[in-house]
Amino acid sequence: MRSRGRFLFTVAIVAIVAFAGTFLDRSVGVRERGGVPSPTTTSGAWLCPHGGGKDWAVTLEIANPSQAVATVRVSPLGPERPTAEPKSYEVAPGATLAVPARAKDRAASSYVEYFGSWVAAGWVAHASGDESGVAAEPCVEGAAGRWFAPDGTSAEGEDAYLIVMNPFDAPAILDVVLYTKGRAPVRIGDWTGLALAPHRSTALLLSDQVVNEEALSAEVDVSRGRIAVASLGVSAATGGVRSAVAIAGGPPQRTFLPVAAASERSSLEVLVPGTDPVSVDATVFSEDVPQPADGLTDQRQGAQSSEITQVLAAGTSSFDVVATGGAAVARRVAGHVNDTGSTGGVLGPARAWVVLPTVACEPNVPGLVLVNPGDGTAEVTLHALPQAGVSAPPDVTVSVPPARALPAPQAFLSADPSAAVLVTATSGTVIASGASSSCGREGILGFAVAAGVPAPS
Amino acid sequence: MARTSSNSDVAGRRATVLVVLVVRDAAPWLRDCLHALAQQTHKPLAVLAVDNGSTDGSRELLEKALGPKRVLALGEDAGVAGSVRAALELTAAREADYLLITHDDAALDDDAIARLVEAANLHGVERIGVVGPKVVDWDNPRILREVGRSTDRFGHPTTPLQDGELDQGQFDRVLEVLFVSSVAMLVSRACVDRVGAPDERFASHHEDLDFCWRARLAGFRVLMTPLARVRHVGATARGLRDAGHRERSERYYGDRAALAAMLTNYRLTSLLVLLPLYAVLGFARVLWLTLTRRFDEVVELFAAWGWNLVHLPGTLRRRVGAQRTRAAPDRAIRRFMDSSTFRPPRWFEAAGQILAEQREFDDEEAEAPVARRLRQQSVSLARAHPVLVASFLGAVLGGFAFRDLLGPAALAGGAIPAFPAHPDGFFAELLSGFRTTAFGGTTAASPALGAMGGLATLLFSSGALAQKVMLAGGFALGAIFCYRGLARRTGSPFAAVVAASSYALSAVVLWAYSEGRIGVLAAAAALPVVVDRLEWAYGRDAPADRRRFVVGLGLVVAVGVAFEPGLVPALVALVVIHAVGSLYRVRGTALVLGGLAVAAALVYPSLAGYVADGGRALSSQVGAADLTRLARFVPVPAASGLVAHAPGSGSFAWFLPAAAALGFALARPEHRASANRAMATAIAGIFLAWGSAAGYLPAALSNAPVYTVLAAASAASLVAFGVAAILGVRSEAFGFRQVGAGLLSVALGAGMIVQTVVAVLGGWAIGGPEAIPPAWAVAAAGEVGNYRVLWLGNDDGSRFPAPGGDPTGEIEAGPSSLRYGVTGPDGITALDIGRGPTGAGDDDLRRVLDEIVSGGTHHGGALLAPLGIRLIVAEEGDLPPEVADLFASQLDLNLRQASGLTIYLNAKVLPLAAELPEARDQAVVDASSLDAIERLPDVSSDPLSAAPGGWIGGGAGGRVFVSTEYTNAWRLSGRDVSAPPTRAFGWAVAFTAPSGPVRVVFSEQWLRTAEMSVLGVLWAAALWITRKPAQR
Repeated sequence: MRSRGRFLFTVAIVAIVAFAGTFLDRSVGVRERGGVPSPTTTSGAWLCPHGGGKDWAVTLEIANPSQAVATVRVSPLGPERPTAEPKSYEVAPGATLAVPARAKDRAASSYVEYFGSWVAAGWVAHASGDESGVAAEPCVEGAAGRWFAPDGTSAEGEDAYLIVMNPFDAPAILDVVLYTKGRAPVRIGDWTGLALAPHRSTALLLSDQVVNEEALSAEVDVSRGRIAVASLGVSAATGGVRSAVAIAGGPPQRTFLPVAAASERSSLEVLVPGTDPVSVDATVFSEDVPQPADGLTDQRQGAQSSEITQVLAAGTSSFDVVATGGAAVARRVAGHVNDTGSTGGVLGPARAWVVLPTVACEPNVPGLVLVNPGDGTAEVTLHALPQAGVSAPPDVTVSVPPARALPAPQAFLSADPSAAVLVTATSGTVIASGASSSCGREGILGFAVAAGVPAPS
Repeated sequence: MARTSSNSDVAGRRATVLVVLVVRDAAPWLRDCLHALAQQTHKPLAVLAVDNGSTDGSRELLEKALGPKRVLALGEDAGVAGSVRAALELTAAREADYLLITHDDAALDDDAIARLVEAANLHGVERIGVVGPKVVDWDNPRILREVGRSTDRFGHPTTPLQDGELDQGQFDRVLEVLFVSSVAMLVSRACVDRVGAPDERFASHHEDLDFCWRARLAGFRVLMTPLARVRHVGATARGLRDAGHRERSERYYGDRAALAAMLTNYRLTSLLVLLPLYAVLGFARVLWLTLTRRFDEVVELFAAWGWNLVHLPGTLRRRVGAQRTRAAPDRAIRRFMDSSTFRPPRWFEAAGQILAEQREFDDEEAEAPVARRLRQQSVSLARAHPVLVASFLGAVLGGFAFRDLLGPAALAGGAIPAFPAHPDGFFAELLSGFRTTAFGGTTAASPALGAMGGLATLLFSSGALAQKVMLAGGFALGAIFCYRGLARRTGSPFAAVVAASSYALSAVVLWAYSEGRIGVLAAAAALPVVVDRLEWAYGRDAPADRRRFVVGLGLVVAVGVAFEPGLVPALVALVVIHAVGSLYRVRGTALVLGGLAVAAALVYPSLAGYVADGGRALSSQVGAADLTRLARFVPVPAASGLVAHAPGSGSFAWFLPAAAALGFALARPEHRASANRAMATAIAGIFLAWGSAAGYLPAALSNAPVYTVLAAASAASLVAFGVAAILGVRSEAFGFRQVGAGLLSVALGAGMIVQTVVAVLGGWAIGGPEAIPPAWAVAAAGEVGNYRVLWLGNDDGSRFPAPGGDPTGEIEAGPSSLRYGVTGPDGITALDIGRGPTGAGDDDLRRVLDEIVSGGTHHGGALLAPLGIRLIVAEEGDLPPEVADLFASQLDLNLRQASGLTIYLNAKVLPLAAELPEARDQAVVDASSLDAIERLPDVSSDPLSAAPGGWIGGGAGGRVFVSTEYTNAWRLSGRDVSAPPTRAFGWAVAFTAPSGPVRVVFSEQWLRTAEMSVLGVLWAAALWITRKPAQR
């Protein structure tokens, strides 16, 4: 081959290589990946910062809505290093297990690990002795780095606690900031860079730090480690206890706060932790058409503040609070007598919920509210997850019209008040939550509200 | 004519000279020799021939020329010393004023003896005992052969002459030297009387050294006079006659005489100093000869020492005699010795010659401008001495570029593996029946560990030094081997030097160095040799010694594969291309297959590891699926985060592919077949690298870095062909070739200069401890005991932050994939060089990672606990977000804050070996399903200590768990108990332990010992077959 031919041959090769390279780079690319391995196990944990007291009885309610046996391992936590070994229990498929928790200390918490299948867990606290009342909440499924607890007050006779638990093997370092209506955010020296040792929980008495504030909210920022937070209110003035798990992550734009069988007056506490004011708009869902919430229609709330608005909504209702810019909200409401319940609500509807028992003792008036924030009617099946040895009532189906909040049939609930209820929407999506009265002569002495737990598909 | 007194007179009369002519089978030259003696101007002169059993008619010729009475027939070869000793028995010899000892292949100039006698009687110089002439070549008398000789302090003969040095009068003065050759040696009567005869044990091998040394010891001077000239055939040395009793190499005779001369002639105090030094240097010589495969010479050296040992009594007797005649101190004799054992390498000696050439150039171009003269001088120098210039520049620039790496600390960073604290670590791992790294198992260590251990041992047991030597050596060897192969194939050292330099400056080689990738550097050194061998095997001229060729090829492949198993797929590609693109494919393929079979034998304990798990050991998880980078031989993606930029990977890295394309176009017709194969290989290498990185090739064929090295080596070949072609292009008419030559020159010039600047500026990923991300200190803080580290990263084709090394596995994780690797607490280790990550432990890790990524479990720490993984490390932001969320949600993995790294501490981790005394914990060990393992409680354990061959410890009894792959060869021995293992967690080892101390041992160590013994024999045989023969 002569020189010229060789050069042309070379040019041709280079061109072919360049063309092929361009084609491969641009048109073929890297081999597609996309498979995700199928899980062969199921495990997780619930963090239950329930708190406690001298004569308190706290029961962990663990419901297994699946078809497989679940094993749970319960580890008690307190301000000291735990000495007791974790205890394991089996939860039968489609059943609820009540496990008494250690709760003699205000800071008491429980760590519930589950294996084999998914379970929902929550607690029902029954205060007696010098204190009285009932509180219930679902446990927290995941730890987070930032928490908001808008349910607090330091009005006279009210003790507001934060129960902070660290069930992990690493210490947690956290900062607590308190918000009120009129003051600048309050940072307490001892609670800035507060270290919480591994496998410990602690109770922080907020109302000792900022007194006489109707609205007292807290933000907990974790700079190291992982924790779970709940508020615990103990009222000496009216008698009663209440608790609400704190809201994890950033302040949400929209929150649903359902309550059943409650008194007419609710306190809606709104915490705006951000540096910008937000606009808050609340709608009340009930068995009737939705109504704007009194005093909370397009209301502007200042930055870094916590304010309370009284909203009237008797019986079964749900607040749909929209906060442009994000706000943490909680609803505090009294039952038929003085005991109050509170909830931080849920962030949105789902197809299936597990509503854990909220009754502490007999007699009782169990309640369950179903909310349909959607545009179409939701068909909902209620399936009881009874405790061992108790026969489950037959499933019932409820139609929930759009933009309505309905109570579950009382007969179904009363058949086994200690059973969790699996709420499944066969069409549409709903929100389910529990709110019950229990104890006392008529079963209305204590009142507790607990949001439902979205069940995995 | 009246006689007048002259320097040839003794006691007022002409000095009598007896020529002792030592003869053996010298018929071709003997007539000239005798004729020259007959023509001597010095009289009176007598000739006595001593025949050493000639069989070619020499004796008859002597008797005819000299008469039977002047021929002393010994009947056997007594050598020069024996002949002289025999001659001295005769009365004539005892009466002569001088003896002239001369060889039968030497012809003296007519006045040579007269000049020698004159020199022996120089006015004002006393006690001249020995005088030698200037010895020149028989055929070309302009070439000097002898002008007097010297030795180093240890008696090794040296000469001031270079090979082929021309006689330009540079030695034309009477020189006092240590000794002169017995080719022609005039010895005075007094000297003979005082010193005696030469040592007959040396026969004809350096007997002159010992004799002259003894003469000096006795106070006599030894001179060389250039006025006397002798032509010398050097018949025996040149193989022109049968060597007779000369059956060993020159090294043997030299070292034999040197040590004997030392023992005989040095004073005791001198010996006390010199003998230890001699021993040290001797050891070093043995090592050097061994490392350079000069095994014959090692044998010769030992034989020389053995001879001296056997003949020690005789030597001591002669020592007594020599010391009795001593009239001069050692220091007086040392004046005539070389100052040390170090003799400048030849290329240093050549420097003088080069300077002379440059001076000549200066003289010729004296009128030209300075800049032009400088340029022309540089070009002329580079073309005349390309290797010298490249070596010099390489040494200077390399030294500067690597300046930051020259400290005493071990190198860290990049992908460089940690070396064991002591070289024993290499040997222990090589011989160990079980693997002490990764998840254990019985995969054999790479034979490379033997070489690394040996090197570290030689380098004062310094792992840090061995690291640096291996890196710098790998870098340099790549260039040297590239040069050697291409010089042979192109016949142009200049072209080969340019190509080798371009190879060394290619992006992939600079990257491999920057990253401290010993395996890739080994591949970069081996591939040019393999390419050269393949070109030879598939070329027109078959190797003459096929056995040696096949074994040599196998040896090179084995060395390369031992360091970088990923060389195998590159070799396959190379062989296929040569088999397809050659006319001699049957012969070539047969030779290559033979070589590969030899290579397989030389790494046979590792073969099972190479093929396990689909050949994962051959694969590399790093690589850029980016053809614009691969085409310029950059094998990895651009820098990101903690993974540094690869020096020399910028736009100027295009110089090599551009130059290769031009070289392909310019290649001469005789090189075109090779060029075609090189071009095919380069293109194939690039696309195979892309296929590897893009995930289209099976694991066994996926190794982007090695394919890129292959492509770069082939490109360097093309450069060599191009440069070789353009060297004569100026003499042709202007055309395409001139344009191509210009472009090639510009591409190479600019590219190599910029790449050199980049290299000199440094910026290597490796360095001191600062090359490890500061966050790693946080990761490792407070962690004691032995554990494993799981490294995670995305699938962008880059490595982990140091010291994590490369990913070794990959799992699907939604839209992307997750790559992982496991190391010990110190990061990647050199003990795993050439060994893949396969095994049941790795399978279990994959199973666990799949489970975590699936979202099913939130107890990933428990699942990782039996694997001994205490830390999980990823570069901050490197994990796919969905994977990061999943790891963050694991309940038993706790985030440890460290800027730059995401580090999780596994709260559930188990010790690598422990006794579990609690009954509750013991049952957990038997679990094999993930569902059961994730329920792992907080286990109470008593860690066992690692010990040679296993672990020891315990005491309370219960279950013993060892986080190493299960094999039934493990045994637990305790008090009167030897327990077999059971399977723990589905893959590891457990035992039921009695109370009291226990020991976990590997019971099949003998198998590995036998395996490695056989391997040692195979390597020894291969090295022996391919040894460099000694010069006889």
